[in-house]
Amino acid sequence: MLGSLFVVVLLLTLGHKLLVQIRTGYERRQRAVFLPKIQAYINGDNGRFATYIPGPLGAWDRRVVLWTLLEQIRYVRGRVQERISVAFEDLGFVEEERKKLAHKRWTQRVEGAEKLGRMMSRRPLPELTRLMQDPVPEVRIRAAKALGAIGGLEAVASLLGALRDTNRWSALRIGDILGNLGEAAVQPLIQEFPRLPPSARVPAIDILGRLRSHTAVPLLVTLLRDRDENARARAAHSIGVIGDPRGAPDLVAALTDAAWPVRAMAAKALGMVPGNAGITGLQVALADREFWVRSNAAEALRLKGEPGYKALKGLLDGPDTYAAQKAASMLQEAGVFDAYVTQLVDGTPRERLAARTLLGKLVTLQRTDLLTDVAARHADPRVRDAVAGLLQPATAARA
Amino acid sequence: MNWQLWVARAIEAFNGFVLAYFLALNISYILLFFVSLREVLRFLKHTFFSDYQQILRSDMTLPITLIVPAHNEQKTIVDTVRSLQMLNYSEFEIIVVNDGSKDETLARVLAAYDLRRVDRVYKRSLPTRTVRGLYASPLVPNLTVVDKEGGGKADALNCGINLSKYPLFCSMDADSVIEDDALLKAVKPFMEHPEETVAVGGIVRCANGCTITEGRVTRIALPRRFLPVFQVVEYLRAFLSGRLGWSALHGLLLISGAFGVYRKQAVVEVGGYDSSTDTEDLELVMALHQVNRSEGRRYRIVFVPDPVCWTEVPNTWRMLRRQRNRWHRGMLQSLSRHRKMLFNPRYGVIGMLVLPYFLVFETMGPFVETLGYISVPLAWALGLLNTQYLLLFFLMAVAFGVFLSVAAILLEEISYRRYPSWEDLWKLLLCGVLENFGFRQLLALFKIQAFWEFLRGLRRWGRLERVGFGKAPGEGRVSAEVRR
Repeated sequence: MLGSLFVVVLLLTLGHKLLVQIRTGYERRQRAVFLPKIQAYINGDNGRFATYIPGPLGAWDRRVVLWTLLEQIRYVRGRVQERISVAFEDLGFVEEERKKLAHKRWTQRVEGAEKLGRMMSRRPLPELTRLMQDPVPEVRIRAAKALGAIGGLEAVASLLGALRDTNRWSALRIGDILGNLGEAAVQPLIQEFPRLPPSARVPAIDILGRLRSHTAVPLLVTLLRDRDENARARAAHSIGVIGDPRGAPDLVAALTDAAWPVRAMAAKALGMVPGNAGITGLQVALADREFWVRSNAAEALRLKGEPGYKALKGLLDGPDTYAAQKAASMLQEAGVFDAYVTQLVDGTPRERLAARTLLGKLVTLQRTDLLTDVAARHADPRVRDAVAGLLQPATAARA
Repeated sequence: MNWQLWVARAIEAFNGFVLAYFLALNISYILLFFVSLREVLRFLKHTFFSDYQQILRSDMTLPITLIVPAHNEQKTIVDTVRSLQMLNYSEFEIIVVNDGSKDETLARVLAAYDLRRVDRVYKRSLPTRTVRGLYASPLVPNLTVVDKEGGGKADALNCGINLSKYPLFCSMDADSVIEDDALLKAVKPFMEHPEETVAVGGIVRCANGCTITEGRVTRIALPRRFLPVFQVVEYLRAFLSGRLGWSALHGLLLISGAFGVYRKQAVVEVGGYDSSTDTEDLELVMALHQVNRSEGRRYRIVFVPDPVCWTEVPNTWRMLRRQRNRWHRGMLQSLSRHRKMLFNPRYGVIGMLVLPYFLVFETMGPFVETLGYISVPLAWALGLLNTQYLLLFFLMAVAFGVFLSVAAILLEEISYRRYPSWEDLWKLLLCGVLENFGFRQLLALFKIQAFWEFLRGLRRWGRLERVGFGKAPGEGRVSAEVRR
């Protein structure tokens, strides 16, 4: 029995390999034959597909034509895309995939929906809409995706319905589909938002951010005061992703939220919002009792550029040790001290003094790793000496 | 009844036990194979139309920290970091942890990226050896290099976790090559089940024989020598028909240290990687099981067969022995440490199925197998067993092994077909047969030696003299540690 099992497995392995190689080779050859004809059809003004590639086609040839057309339709729009969709209909591919939508195996339904979405034919719209009631979430998502691709705005309601299947993967995909629909998808989503179940609200907030529409900002600002802390945190993040300065005052207010994830997200978002709004709030957030809030606030100030650096420098000799340490660390990583190090020897007397004062603050804070590195490795010996001189008190203290 | 009769009966009973043992082992392998086959087909159907580019272009994708522990990796570290920088992923940071290297690992990576020492404030969630310095550059904001006192891979990974700023981290080896889309594929389970997924493992494949250019696999081929090809077959069997099956049964016990993605919070909760065992990867997964099961949480530790990590496997018997010694010793240490889960229904499939399987077949297996190879032929030679029994024993011990190896090659062939040429397929099939005549038996002996070392409390890291990808022995990489 084992012997026959072994022989079966061996034959299956070899047979499969042989079949795959024969099929791949055949398809490669046939593709080379069909592609110019398919492109001639796509770019032609009239004539059915059969005038370019007369039928009937064998099963393997149909497969080659199907995948070649599916590949071509990905890159075209407008009339050319319509001609490819018509070819799918004429060749019976749309009908074949429509039948799969009623198949008892969900993987077949998924395949049907996916291919129909790519074929862009409007014929299966009723079946795809019905498929939004399928018991399998994956089928519903694929149907929503197909509807999004084919039906444009008609599919938005269905897509929002799919948001009820909440996990990050579904939300990401729905966000991607709605993102392709652009600004037009925002208003229906905003209108639908109050009716969404609690589990769908957070993904919807993420999607509003993904759509990057300023129209969504007022709703997101309202959500900064939501009862659910997760919703507040995601709303802050989405405002940041949209980058609308109108949201900045509310984000600053969110820096004092009771929940630290909200404060951390608000700090991160303020870094993404253009302009100088929120710098003072971020300075305060650097002294937050939660590490991640301080960390995000420092990163946000770094993203603000020169005004942010100025704020960070101002914190170096401030009363809060956490804030001073974090500011020193962020300024080092941003490379801000490099210019000051050079000014120690090459600057005007005023610049030298400013450089000595600022770098002296690092020594006082005992954040001397960068300076020690400069003192050891800088190309200019004068800079090395100057920095070593600055470091002397710290070295003496350590000794 | 005289003593000869007693001896004969004892030998007969032992041989009966050996036969029953092999029968049970093979049945479990075959069941696992069919579970894996189903899982591979299911996975292929699920992912056939998966557009991983959606993950890539979405800002809802979870960001990842890549932690690269490096110990004496001067020859590869710059290429490794360069290849990681080119990974297809939207938001990630790379933390290279120089774990007390004696060579120029640190100097080379600092010079390549013009990194300077910085004072970074970070949260020390896990205890580690002293950090000597942190290096970063405003020009490469997603790269941090940590220089620390040598403390082993576990300690280096813990240090990387402390410094990471993202919710997920990927542990890897400095000398492994991760495929461009591997992170996108590995992160998908975290997106599908964000609350439950705590760890995801990918498949590790043998890079010997492949051509690797600038940290990327550019041509896949089997090595010329038989020993690495035996390991290619063994890896296929272990990953495609072992781990995949266990993962489907919610009993995955090991995520390879060469490539695994974890939820940071979950790892910190169990105290991070444990430096006191020889296999920190196995120990971590067992600890994750223990904590989550004892707390009664819903959690997922899954194996995804598609994200690929390429790694060099030992080219010599001596290196192989050291590597397998360490792996087996580590397994025994972890089994012993988590013995309270054994046969404990509170730990579900882990306590009632997976750990007993490891205890019976992995721990006892080498002894039963080796003694069987001695006692059955001996008993036959002494006329205590008939030829039919002897043949039945070899059928169970060897022929089943051949069947399972070929079955694993079939799984590879119907799923990923990474070795496209007929020559490679023939070679795999040939080695699938040959590895059952000597290779497997030697591995059993290595495990017995490891058991002895475990009893004596020995701990040591095997050191592999790396040949380097596509190079002859003596060239290329040297002295990189063997890591699973």
